[in-house]
Amino acid sequence: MCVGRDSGFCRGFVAWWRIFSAFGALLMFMAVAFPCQARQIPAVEGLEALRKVFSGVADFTADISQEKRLSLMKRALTMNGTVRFRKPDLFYLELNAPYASRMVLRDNTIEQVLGTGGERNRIVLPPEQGLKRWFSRLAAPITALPEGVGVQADATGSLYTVTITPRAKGQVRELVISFLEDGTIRKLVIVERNGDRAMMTFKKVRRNVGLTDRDFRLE
Amino acid sequence: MFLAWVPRIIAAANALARRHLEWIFRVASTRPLTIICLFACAVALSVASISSLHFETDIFRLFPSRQPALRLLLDSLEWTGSANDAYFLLEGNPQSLPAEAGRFAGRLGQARVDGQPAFKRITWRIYDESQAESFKELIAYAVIHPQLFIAPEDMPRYVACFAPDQAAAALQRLRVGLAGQIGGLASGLAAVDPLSLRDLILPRLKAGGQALDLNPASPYFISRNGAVLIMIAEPARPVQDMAFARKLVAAINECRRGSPVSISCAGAHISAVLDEAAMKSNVLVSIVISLLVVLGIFFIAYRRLLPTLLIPLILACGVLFALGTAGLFLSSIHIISFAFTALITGIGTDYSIHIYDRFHSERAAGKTSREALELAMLDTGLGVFTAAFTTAIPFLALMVSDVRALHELGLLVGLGVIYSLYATLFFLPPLLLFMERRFPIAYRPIPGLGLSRVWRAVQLHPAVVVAGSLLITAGLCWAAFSVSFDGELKNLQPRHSEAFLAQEKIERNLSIAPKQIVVALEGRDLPDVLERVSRLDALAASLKTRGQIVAWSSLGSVINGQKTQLEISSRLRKRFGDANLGSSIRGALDRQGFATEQFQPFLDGTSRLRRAVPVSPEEAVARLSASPLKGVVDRLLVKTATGYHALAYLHYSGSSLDLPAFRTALAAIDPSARMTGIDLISSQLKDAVRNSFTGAFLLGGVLVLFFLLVHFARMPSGVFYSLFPVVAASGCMLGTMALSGMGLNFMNAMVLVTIMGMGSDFGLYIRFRVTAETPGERERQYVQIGRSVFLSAMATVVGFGSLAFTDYGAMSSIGWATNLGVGFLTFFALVTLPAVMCLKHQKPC
Repeated sequence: MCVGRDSGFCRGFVAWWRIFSAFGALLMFMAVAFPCQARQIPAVEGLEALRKVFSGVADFTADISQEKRLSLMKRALTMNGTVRFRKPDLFYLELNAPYASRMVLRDNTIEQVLGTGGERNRIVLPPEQGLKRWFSRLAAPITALPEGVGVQADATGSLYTVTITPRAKGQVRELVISFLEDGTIRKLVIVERNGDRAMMTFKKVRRNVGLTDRDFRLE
Repeated sequence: MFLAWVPRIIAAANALARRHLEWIFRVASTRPLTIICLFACAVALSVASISSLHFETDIFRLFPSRQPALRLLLDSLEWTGSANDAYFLLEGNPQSLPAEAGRFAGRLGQARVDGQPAFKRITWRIYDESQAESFKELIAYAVIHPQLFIAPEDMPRYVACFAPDQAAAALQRLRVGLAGQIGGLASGLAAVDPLSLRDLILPRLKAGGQALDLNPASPYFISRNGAVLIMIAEPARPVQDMAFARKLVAAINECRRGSPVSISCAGAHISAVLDEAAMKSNVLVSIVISLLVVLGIFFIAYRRLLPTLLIPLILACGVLFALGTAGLFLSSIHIISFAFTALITGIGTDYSIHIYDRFHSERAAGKTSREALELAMLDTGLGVFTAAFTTAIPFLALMVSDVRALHELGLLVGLGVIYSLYATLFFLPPLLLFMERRFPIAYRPIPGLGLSRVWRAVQLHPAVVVAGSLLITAGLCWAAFSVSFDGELKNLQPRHSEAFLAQEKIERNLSIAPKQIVVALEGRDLPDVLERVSRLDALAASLKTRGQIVAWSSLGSVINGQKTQLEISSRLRKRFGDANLGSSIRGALDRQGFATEQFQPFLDGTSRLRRAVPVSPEEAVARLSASPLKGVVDRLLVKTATGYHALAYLHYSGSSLDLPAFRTALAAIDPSARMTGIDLISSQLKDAVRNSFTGAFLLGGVLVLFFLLVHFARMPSGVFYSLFPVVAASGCMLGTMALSGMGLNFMNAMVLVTIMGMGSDFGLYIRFRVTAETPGERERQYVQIGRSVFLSAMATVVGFGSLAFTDYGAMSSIGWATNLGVGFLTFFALVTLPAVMCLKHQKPC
C-alpha cells in the first residue's frame, strides 16, 4: 500500500503512471491527427461483400471468446469455446467450463447439452428462421435490400462491418457482423430488444478444412 | 258394423278408380292441347318452387338431431367451432414437411375470397412467436399458483425445487443455459421461472389439452411416425354459404398447386363442395346411363321411336313435380335424396312399358286403335294405377319417420311415382293416337323373350317349382336372421372423395385411439360444473388404470378443481408457513450473480405461497383463455346462454370400454350428464330407423292392403299373389346379403320399402292379367304381362341398380340391395306364381 509519498513503491508507481499517461496522450493525439476512418458503404455493397465471403466458404472452424451482457445477470458473462460451421445448414458451438455446453443447429433444429453429460434439449425454430433459408438468400448476387430489414455497412481497410436491423418485432434488434475481405469473420454482435447483448469474437479461423458430420455430433 | 262397410268401401273405391281412369282417358284422348298447357303451367310452378329450395350436403343433417347423442355431437361441434374448421394433411418427406407447411400456411394466409381473407386463423405449429408474451405471462402465473396447475402427485417435486441445494443447482443450470443460448429465447421465461418449475406444469397442460396423437418432441402438429402433418384453419364464413365454400375450395386448390408434398383437405366446407360435386357427378352419370339403357331396352323391345322419346319427358315431369311439391313442404333437401331421381327412372318407366305393351299386343291381335287403347288404359291401366299407388304409398308412409333421409326420400319417391303415373296416363294416349294417324304401321307380335318356354317348363312340374321356391325362401330367410347392421355413418360417404380419405388418414395417423366418447357436464354454476368434472376425472383415471380407456382430456386434467386446490393450498401453507421463500430464493439468485430485481414478481409470488388459497374457477378460466391455451379451454369448456358446458373426451379402443357400466357410473356423478360417440349415435339412429320402418311398414302395409283389396275386390286371392313375392323376395334379399357379407345400413334398408311397393306390383300384374280359361290364352296373357314385368324389372335394375357402381357408399348399398331384391321378385313373380296358379287350379294348365 502507498502509505507515504516518500516510499519507494509509491515513487515508482507515480513515475510509471506519468510515462503511461504521456504515451497515452501521444496515442490519442496521433489518433486524432491521422484518423484511420471507417467509410460508410452502400448497404447492398456490404451485403454483397458478405455474400462473396460466404460463397467461397464451404466450412470453417474457429475459437471464440464471447461476452454476454444480460439483464438477468449482475455482471457480464465471459466465456471461451469453439465454433464450427458447414454449408448449408450446420452450426456447432461448444463452450468451455464454467459454462460448459454444446449446441448443434441443423437448419432450424437446435439440440443442446448443458454441462458435460446433461440432458439433451431440442428446440425447433420456425422454418423461416432456419440456417438453410438464410444461406439460400446468399446464393445469388445481392442487387437489392431484402424486405423487412434495415442494413448499414461500413469498411475500414479490408474490414467490413454489416449491421442488420430487422424491422419486425422479433427477439433480435440488431445483428452486427465484422469480417475481412479474405473471408475471415472477426466479430458477431447480437443485440436483443430487451437490451441483452452478446459479442462473439473469432480467433484462429480456419476455412474449408473439410468438416464432416462427426464434427457436428453432440456425443 | 265397420266390417260390414268394408266391402262397400272397397267396391266404391274400385268403381271410383275405374271412373277416374275413364275420365283421364277421355280427357287425354280428346283434349291434348289443354293437357299440354296445364302441364306447362305445372312445370313453371315447380321450377319456381324448386328455386326456393336449399340443397344440403352435411351427412349429419340426414338424421334426427333431437337424438341425444347426435344432438350433443352437433352441439359440441358448434360450440368448439370444429364443425367449421378446415383440416389440411401434408404427407411427404418428414424432413421437409414443416418447411412446406410454413410455405403453405403463408399461401393460405394470403388467399382471398371476394377480396377478403379466406381464413380467420391458421394454426400449424404449437409455438407461435406472436404468443410468446402471453405464454410467458401464463408461466409467470402458473409457477406461483401450484394449487391450480400442479397435479397433486407432483407436489412433492414442486416443494423440493425450493430446497436450497436443488434451487442452487437449478440456478447453476440456468446460468449455463443463458451463457450457451443463441439469442435470448430463454431469458424471458427465466425471469418469471428461474427454477424451471414449468417442467412440472407444461407436460400436464399439453397432455390434458391434446386432441390428437402428436409427436411430443415436435413443435408442429405432426404424427408420431412423422408421416403426416396437420394444419387447422378457420374459414372466414360458415359452410352454409355455398358460394363462399366453392370459392374457398378453388383458393385452396390454388394454394396447394405445385407443392412438393401431398396436401389433402377435410372439413365441412371441403366436404360440402367436393361431396356435392362427387354426388352430382355420381347421380348424373348414374341417371344418364340408366336413362339411356332404359330407353334402349324400350326401343329394342317395341321398336317405336316416339313412345321411347316420351319416357324422358314422363320421368322429367315426375322428378320436377316431385321436387316442386316437396319445395312447398321443405326448406331444404339433402343432396343424398337426389338418389330418388334414379329410382324414378326405374319405376317411372314401368307404366309406359305396361300400357304400351298391352296396346301393341292388342293391336297385333287385331284390335282397332281405339279398342286397343281402351284395353291398355282401362284394363291394364287399372293394374298400373293400383301398382303405382301400392309402390308410392310405402314410400310416402316413410314420411312418418323422423329420420330426415327416409322422410325426404319417401316423399320424393312417392310423389315422383304418382306424377310419373299421371304423366304416362295423360301423355301416352294422345301420342299413340297421333302416331296411329301420322305414322301407321302393321303391328306384329312382340318377341316373347323366352317367356313361353318358362311358362311351359313351370307348368310341367309346378309342385317341384313351388317346393324349390319355398326351400330357397326358407333357407335364405333363415340366413337373413344373421344379417348385420352397419351403423358407421362414414361408410355412407363417397369412398374416394378427398374429404373422406383425409378423414381416414387423420383417424389412422393422428387419433389417440380408434374410438372416442364425448361427455358434457352442464350447469349455470361454474364451480359446481368443475366439481362434477373432477369426479368424472376420478372415474376416467380408474378406467384408465383398468385399461378400459387409453386416455382422456378434460378441464380437470389441465387444472385442479376446488377440492384438490384446497388440499394443495393446505399442504403449501403447512410446508412454507414459517419459511420466507422469497428471501431464500433471492439469496440463492444473488449468490449465483443474478440481478435479483429482475425476478421480483417471481419472488413476490413465492412469498405468497405460505398463504396459498384456492383460485376461483372464473379466474383460472380467464387466465387460460388469455394465454396460448385458449384453444384448449375452448375445446373443454364452453359458455352459452344456457350456462357452462364442460366437455370431456375419453379415448378407447374397440370394445375395451364397458359402455353400459360407464353410463351408470356417469349417471351417479351427474344424472343430467350427456354423452356422445359414434357407437352411441349409431345405436340411437338404429333405433330411430327401426321405429321409422315399423311405423312406415304398418301404415304403408295397411294402405297397400287396402289398395290391393280394392283392386282384387272380385278376386281376393290376388292379394296373396301380390304379397307372396314381397315376403319371399325380402327374405331372400336379406339372406343373400347376409351370406355375401353385405350389411343393412341406414340407407339400403329403404330398399325393403321399395320391394314392398314394387313386389306387390309384379304379383298383382300376373294375377290380374292371367285370367283366361283356355291354356293357350293363359299362356298368351302370361307372355304379354310377363314381358312387361320382366322389362319393368330390367328398367328398375338399370335405374336403381346402376347406383351400385357409384362411389357414394349410401347409394351404392341401395343399388346392390335393389339388384338382389328385384332379381328375387322377378323370379318369384314369373316362375313361382305361375306354378302356384297351376297347382291352385288343380287342372292341366
